[in-house]
Amino acid sequence: MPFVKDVVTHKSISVVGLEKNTGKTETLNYVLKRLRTSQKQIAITSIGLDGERIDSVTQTQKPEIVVSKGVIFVTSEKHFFEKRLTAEILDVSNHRTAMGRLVIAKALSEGKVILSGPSDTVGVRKLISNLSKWDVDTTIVDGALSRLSLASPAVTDAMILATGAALSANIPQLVRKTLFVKQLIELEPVDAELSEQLQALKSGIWAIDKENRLHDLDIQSVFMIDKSERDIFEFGTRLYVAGAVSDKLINCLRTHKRPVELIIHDFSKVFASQLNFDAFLQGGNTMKSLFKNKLIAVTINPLAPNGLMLNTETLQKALEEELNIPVYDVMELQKDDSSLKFRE
Amino acid sequence: MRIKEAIAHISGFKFVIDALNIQSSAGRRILYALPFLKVSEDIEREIEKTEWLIEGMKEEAFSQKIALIQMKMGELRDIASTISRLKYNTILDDIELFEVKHLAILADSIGKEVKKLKLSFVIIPDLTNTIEILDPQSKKIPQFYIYDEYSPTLTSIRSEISKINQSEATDDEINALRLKEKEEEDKIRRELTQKLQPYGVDLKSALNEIATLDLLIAKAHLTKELQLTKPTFTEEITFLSELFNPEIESSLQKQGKEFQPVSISIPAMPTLITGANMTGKTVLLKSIALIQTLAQFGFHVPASSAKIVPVDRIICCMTDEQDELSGLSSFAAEMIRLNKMIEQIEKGESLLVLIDELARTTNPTEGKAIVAGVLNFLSEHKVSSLITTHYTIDIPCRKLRVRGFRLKDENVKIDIHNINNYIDYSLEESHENEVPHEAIYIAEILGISDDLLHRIKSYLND
Repeated sequence: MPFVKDVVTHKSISVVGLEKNTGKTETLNYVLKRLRTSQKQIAITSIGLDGERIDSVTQTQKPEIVVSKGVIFVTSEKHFFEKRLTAEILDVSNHRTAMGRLVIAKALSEGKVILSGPSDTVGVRKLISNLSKWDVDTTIVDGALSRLSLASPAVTDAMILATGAALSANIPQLVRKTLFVKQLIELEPVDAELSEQLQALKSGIWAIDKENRLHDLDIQSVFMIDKSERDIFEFGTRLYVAGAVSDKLINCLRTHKRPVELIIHDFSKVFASQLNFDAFLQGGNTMKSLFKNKLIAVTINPLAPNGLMLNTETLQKALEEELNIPVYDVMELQKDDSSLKFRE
Repeated sequence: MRIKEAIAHISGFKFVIDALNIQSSAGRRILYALPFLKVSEDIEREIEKTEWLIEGMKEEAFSQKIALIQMKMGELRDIASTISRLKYNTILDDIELFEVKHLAILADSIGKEVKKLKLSFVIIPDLTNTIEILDPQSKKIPQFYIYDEYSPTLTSIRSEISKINQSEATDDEINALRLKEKEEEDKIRRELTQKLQPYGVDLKSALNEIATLDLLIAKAHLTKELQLTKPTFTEEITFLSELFNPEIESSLQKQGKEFQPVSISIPAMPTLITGANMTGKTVLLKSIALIQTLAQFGFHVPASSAKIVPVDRIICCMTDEQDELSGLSSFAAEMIRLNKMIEQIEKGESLLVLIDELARTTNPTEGKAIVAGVLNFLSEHKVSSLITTHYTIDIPCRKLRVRGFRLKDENVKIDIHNINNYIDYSLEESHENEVPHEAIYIAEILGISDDLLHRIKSYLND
């Protein structure tokens, strides 16, 4: 089977859903299931608390991940005690989350577990690198895509995107939206040294001069950029925006009529519409991000929560044509392969 | 006094504490609980431990072992609260059991290294029994779960679960088995906790011994790094030779300047220190407070040699921003402090009193009287004390004077940037009552306006 063998060639990979009900958890479970026969040591964790899990307060069902024997999983103390499998504790990290410390454990039997992980980008990176202590070959990250989150799935080497009818019921529109995200994910990264420097900046708009020196432009909010009285190009036309990238920001930079190199933290910070993004690039400007990332596959869920069902085959073909990467309907794949059936 | 208070009140103490490279949070806990030692023998015993490590670390092999131990200490977790839960027989959960096992195995491995180094003052109890309880597979690795080996019932439940997982069973069937597994696991946790309970004391002592060693190693490194000296203790006269202040020294070094070490003796009587402005009187008092504090917490001290009389309490009367915040005028705050000091002296406590420019915030006539009165009291009660002043005080007492602007060079224009080079910070015995009159000269060097200087000088000549 296709993209799963591609997964283990990466040190870390995140699975990201473009919208709720696009089948992220199914994709994750499918990947994990397929990796059961792999000789590689797999680890799995999550980024912080995503919207769904916060619903533990409202008693809504939380997605559980099926972990097979031998897989290392990382989750908070709270979720560790709720696990439905036998697991050996390898380590308890000092990293504290809202739900206690992170527990690194190895599954000794197959079973279900709720994942939670570090809530900031630095924490995720540190965790992935620490896992090498346990000979982990590939870490799979359940990547919450939240613009409010301090952690971004962009820190992994590769990514799988779950999309589907929940994002748009119109196939051409769904394809366009997904393609835009792919474009953003695969933005050219800045060099590693500059990336480290910029990652340390938590907010603001910064200019980077020719000697890679950083200058704070003292713009309180991106929404104030056109109100700024100082020359934002005082130190050159290379700018870094630590926070959200809005339509307003892009348009403001575009109207200055000089080629700007805009560096963004990662794709999840882009709020701007595709229209403005395209106009920005066409004006001779460039956009780069801090992390090198690669989209290795897209999974689709043709069923929308309102009951609307898109034609899987049409959708799959349309996406593959535009994205040039494998596109799968995970549910269909499972039907084909009865030996890998899930217990739900 | 606790370390926390010393950090807040003793200038330069935080700098030294921050320079300590402690690996574990338990080590930091031990640091913050260090007692302020008042008996010479206790302090000596404490300092001897650091000294022992410093001596040992001169040897390459010893030093490498210490580095290895330090690396292992990075793994130490402060599980004091888990251990006390054990004391009250609360059933430990898997994470807590893991922590106990982790500590026991780590302590075992650090203990072996400590034995090789013959560190007689670190006694890590034998935790073999604890390890055995939590390691039924005898793997000697710190991982933990409720092992199948603990109970045949558990083994059979688990094998049933794994069998049923392969087949087409319903969720309910699996959940029923999981519940049985959970019950059995709980039973085992209860048994494990009971078995571990007698070893709680040993676990606690192992944790604290390792944490203490962590602190000691950090102290040994600190001594080398800041070039501190082993102090000795006496009942008679404190004598500090070439004392310096690490924080000020480091900040001067950054500006390309040097700290001029000063020597001083402090007998059991008041000493009045005079000297022109900018001659380092305040820094001198702060450095002495720092040295006395460090020594009594069992640290080496910044001086080339130090003979110290331990005291019950160090009283520092210096400008404090806190006064204004608490709504007191500087004069009121000073008087309240003086009064506290008097009470403590009358209670019979031995003190080291350091007062910077006593009564400077009031009129010179009454100010002088206050200084004289305090000197008289301190003299009668034989209190080791240093008081700096700009007032001319003519009652007989021991007087020291900072040599000050003795290094004048006619060819060089002295200004604010090079002024330090022309000051001799050392002290000399003085028998004159008259204090140095160099305030206006210094103001001139600092470059204040000619107009103002002219006016000032016209009044001085009156």
